[in-house]
Amino acid sequence: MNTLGFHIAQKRKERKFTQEELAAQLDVSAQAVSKWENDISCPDISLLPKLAQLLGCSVDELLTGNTVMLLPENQRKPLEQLTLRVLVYSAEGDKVRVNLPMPLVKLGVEMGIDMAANMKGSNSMEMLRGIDFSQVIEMVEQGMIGKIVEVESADGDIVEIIVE
Amino acid sequence: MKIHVKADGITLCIPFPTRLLCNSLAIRIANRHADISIPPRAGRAIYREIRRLKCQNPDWNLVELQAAGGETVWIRL
Repeated sequence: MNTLGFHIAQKRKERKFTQEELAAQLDVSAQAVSKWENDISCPDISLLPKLAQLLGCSVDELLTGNTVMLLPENQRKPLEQLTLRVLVYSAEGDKVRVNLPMPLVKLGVEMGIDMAANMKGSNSMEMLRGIDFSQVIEMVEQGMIGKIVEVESADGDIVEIIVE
Repeated sequence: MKIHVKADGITLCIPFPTRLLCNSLAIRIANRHADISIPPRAGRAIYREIRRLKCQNPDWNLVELQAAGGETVWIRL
């Protein structure tokens, strides 16, 4: 599910708002919120910034589901507490999840280990070849978290890199 | 670390010493036979980092694999 309604419902539940509470904040009816969440209608474009603010995300995140965030300096976590997850969904239905602690990734990059070149064996992993992990670390150090890479191959394999 | 394999109702758990995996000889063998390029001197630093991680998160799943056929493999520190 990658619709606006789905994202609104998901974010609202995360924030523990009821449809009535959200509606009251936006000066619309609870039925209107229900319609948005069921993809029967869409919120007015002028409401999107306030809706995103109430749901604690960006308008882009609300519309596309891309959960990349640039955290301000006071909200950033130290690198030791972050994890780099590589998720691979093959077209055949296999799922692979690699959970790497960021210090280990940083260590690998500092030692000149070509992380992407070492991920061999399948088309999905070959897709990661072009990724410069030193740049990924630089982005994370500057406060970027979320799904920072999403690649879909012609075969239907999907690779995602998420920092959380 | 432990490698767990679950397939056809059978669960296998293979304990594997992390130090053995991270020594320079093992890395040299891996570089030669698995066609990867990790400098042999990196082993000690990688081991130290894995140890630190293991102390902080004893049940850390490094790799989780779920095959379409239902087989599951996971590597736990």
